[in-house]
Amino acid sequence: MSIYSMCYDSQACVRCFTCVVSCSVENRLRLQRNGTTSIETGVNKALPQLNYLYPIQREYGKYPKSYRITELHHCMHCENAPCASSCPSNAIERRKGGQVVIHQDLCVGCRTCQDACPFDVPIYDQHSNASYKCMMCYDRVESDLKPACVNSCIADALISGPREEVVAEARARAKRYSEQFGKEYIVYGADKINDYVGKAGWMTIVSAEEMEKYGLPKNPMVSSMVLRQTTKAFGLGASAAVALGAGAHFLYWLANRKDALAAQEKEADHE
Amino acid sequence: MQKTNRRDFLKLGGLALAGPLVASGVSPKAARAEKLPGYGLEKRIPVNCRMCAQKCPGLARVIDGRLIGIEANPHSISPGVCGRSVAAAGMVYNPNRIQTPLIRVGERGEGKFRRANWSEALDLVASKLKVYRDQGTPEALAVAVRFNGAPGLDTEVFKVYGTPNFPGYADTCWANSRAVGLGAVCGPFSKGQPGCSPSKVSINYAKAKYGVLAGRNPAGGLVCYPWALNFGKGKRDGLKLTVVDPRKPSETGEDNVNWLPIKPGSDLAFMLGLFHELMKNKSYEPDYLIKHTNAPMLVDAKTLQPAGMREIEKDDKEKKIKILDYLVFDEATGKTQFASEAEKPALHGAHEVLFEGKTFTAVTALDRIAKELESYTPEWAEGKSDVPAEEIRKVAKDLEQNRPHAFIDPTYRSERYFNSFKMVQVISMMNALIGAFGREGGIIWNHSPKLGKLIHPPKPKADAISKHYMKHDPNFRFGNSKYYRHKSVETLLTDKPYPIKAMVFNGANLLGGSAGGTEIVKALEKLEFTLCISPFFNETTLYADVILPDATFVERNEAINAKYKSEVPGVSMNMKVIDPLFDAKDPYWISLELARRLLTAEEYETHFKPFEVGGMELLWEKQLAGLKGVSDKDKTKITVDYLKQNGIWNGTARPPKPKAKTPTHKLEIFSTFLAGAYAELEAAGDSNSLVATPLPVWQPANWMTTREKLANDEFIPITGFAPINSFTGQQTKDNRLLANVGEAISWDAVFINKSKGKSLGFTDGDMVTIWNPDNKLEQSAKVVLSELVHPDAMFSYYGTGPGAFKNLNKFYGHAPKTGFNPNHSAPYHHAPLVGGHAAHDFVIKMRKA
Repeated sequence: MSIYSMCYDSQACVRCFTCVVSCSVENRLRLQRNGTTSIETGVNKALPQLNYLYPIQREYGKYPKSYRITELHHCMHCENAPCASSCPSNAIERRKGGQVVIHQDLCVGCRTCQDACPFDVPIYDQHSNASYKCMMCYDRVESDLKPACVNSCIADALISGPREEVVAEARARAKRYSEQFGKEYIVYGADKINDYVGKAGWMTIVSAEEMEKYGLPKNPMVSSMVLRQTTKAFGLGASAAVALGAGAHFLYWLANRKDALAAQEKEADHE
Repeated sequence: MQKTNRRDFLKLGGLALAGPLVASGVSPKAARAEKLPGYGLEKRIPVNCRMCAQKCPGLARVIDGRLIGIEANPHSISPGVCGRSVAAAGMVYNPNRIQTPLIRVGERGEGKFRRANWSEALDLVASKLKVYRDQGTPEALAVAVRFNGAPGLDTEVFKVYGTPNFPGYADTCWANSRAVGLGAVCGPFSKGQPGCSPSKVSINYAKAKYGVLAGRNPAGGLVCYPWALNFGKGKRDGLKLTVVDPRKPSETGEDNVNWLPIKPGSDLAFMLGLFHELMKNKSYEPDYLIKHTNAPMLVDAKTLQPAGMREIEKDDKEKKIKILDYLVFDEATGKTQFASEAEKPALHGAHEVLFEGKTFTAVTALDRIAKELESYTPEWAEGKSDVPAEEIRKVAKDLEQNRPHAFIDPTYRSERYFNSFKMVQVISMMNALIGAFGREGGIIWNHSPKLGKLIHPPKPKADAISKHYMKHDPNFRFGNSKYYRHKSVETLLTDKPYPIKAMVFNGANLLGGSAGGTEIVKALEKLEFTLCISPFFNETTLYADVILPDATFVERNEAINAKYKSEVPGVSMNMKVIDPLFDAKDPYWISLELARRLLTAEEYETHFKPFEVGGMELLWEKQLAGLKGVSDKDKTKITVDYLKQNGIWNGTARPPKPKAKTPTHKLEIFSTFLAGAYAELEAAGDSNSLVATPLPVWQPANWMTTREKLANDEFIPITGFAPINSFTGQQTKDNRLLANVGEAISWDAVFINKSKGKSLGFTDGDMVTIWNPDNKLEQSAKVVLSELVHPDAMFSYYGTGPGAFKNLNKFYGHAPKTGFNPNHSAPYHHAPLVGGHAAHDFVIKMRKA
């Protein structure tokens, strides 16, 4: 099974939020399916931790040369998933299809994933003491359906499928938009963004000069987590070195001890 | 309920359904080549979504007997439903719905009711309404219909009852400025009056290269099936847009669209400046103008009357029809001649005309229009509208480069200012000039098949009140005989032409949706009896004597729908998904119960017994038996079973043609209808003659006549739709799923210009009080200081807050507790000549709460 990827087209999007609503409905369906709460109760609860997809609107410029950017906030499904690699309880899985999934039944609520994520994605819920984020509807995908948001988009601004196909389509669109608007459109996440996150499983077609405003930083990284990772790696090496050193010293001491004991015996014989 | 966690579920795997399973038990047809997605546990039932008013076809998902939501029907030509539709479960399973019939116990407006059972409530309604019929004045009852649930039956009950008064909602929407302004140019005409409603023509967004949107936001005023999907396609394929709006909307584009902020109510000035440029640049194809428009028509430069007209017969699809023929100058013969006989009509020039014994100099209509436009330079337009002259010239260039696959949107919800009619007329004239009508990417005719009827009620005896206004009220001369809900308030207050003593609101919210809250409250308090049929609470229900909760669209079978604002014919089915919740009842049952009580036994037997016996199957059969506007071959295909299986049938669109349904059968860039009205009004010394002129002329918005400029604490209240809300409907704003998004976009706030707000001492998030100094109502809302709003404007998303009627908050759980509705504070006034409610055309003041 190849990597399953998604792409959001910020130019085609009409900001109707059908995707946002669709995601929240699908999550309530999951709650009904696993017996937590039925639809009729779920739809009357806010359940913010299940808003995997949500808009953040910000304004730029000064009237009348001003505009708004609506960031469609979501998980990037990073190739190097720093949330997954830093999770101390191995609750975050990177599936064969590339989807990064938090399994709440394994989550201990430590929120390290929140620390590790440079895109501010996982949401912690106190009531269930677990963190939540988009799981790219892998349950739907593995049943031959599209993710709920992709399925519902009315502007064909969300596409999904095998990674090569999605990247090809996204690049074709980006090229067309670059020509149409006379400014560079890129596919954020199609190539490696940086070492911390790698490529993105959920890419974005966006104007290069606006990408930061869409919540897509050039160098997404949490430096303290990088330090922790380095320290962990270093610590692992250091512990190994210590163990090795201690072992070596022990052999040396053992060898010395044998000599010392042998010398003692020799003295005892002379008396 | 069987538990299935995520991992177990995956082991079950996905089952592809052979075809949609439907509640009626019809067995699925053999598997189609296309795999319909299914978890294996789901049913999918075709519905015509009613989260907003437009009935987009969709499929309701049901699992374990519960409605999950609605999604696209893949059989539809335009498959897709919006977030409101997806959130249907939030509407249905909301305990804040009206659960039982309610009978008022407090004063009207207090919102105090007691629960009643159906027989008590129905008996009470009947006893109150029978009175007028018994007195021989059934016309004293008016029935306002909007989100009604039993089409084909509910209105018919009251038609048999005998009232002629069914005031439709659209004089608060499009029926005046848009319908008449656009209809005067392209038609169609009905009883001598132009009426181009949004049902008649569509903008071909999908194929357009460039468009100007002023007073129109196709994805904010979001409707999937008829236009939003096409709009999305157009955008994806490179549709370039200029958005003219006092507030910059997001839906048409954010970092990639040209926004021209404009002073509220001055769009007409922008359009005149644009028209000036188009004319100056000769942005037209002479052949198109000669062949398809009356640009060569000779007119008297002073009186604006066509130089000579006559009626001729023309062949039209095996029929003979009468059209108006007009004089032109034929360059081939060098003589003035009737257009039907002219070889080469001239577009320009002044010519001597001899007609009916009189000689005078006449000019071509095109030249006369060009002359009038001379003074409306882009600089002049800038002075009136705040849009820079160079931007206006740029728009003209863009239209020139992209025509004829370009458009200026003639708007939809047009009743905003006193000059909205003139604005739409000028827009329509420009579309005729650049050749947008009947072209790909321009303005194309819709095609809606007609369905048969089960009930044929007798004609009422009395005339509807609208007839009186159209004849006698100078500000309703161009009003619409069907759409006069706003106008009817005048009758409620004045008892002219005769008293209306009771009103039924069938899914209609007069108080929330119509300008003039103070007057409307007076009118509602004056009525002898008020009945609301609605699943949901709204402003008008606060003033109801009885409220009957009908079941929502997913809880009932409903008549087939074929009326869509689309060039592609469609016939669509709505089937019951789940049983009605609480004590809500099927509106078809409610109609029968009302009919049984209000009408004689004989009338019931004749008109309603068939439905009582035959049910929905009978109604559906009758509708399809009477299907018109599709080929005979298609008609045999479209059966009840076909619709149950597929949800919708779609035909194909006709290729676009520059056809006009005007008296001359040409696109009347110089409207003969308006020329006639102008002459009459001039002769009568009526000041509205200036509004009626066929020429493009400036008229101010009403608020502009009251002051030179706004004081620092004054604003013009403007509104736009949020794509997750629907007018004032509880089904969307009191819906947790949609409120989650609404809260993220501040749908309850008022947005004002940041600098202006700061100068008033406001900070973002402050609570402000807003009022119209001419009346006593006060509203409160959170204020957002925004860089995206013209200093004169105060923007709010339409219908999200309770406005001045805070008692509504008792009934809602998720809806915003504060928020502004301009209709509540608006004056009760009518735009000149056309009679729309001019909902934005007044001044409000703001202060910190």
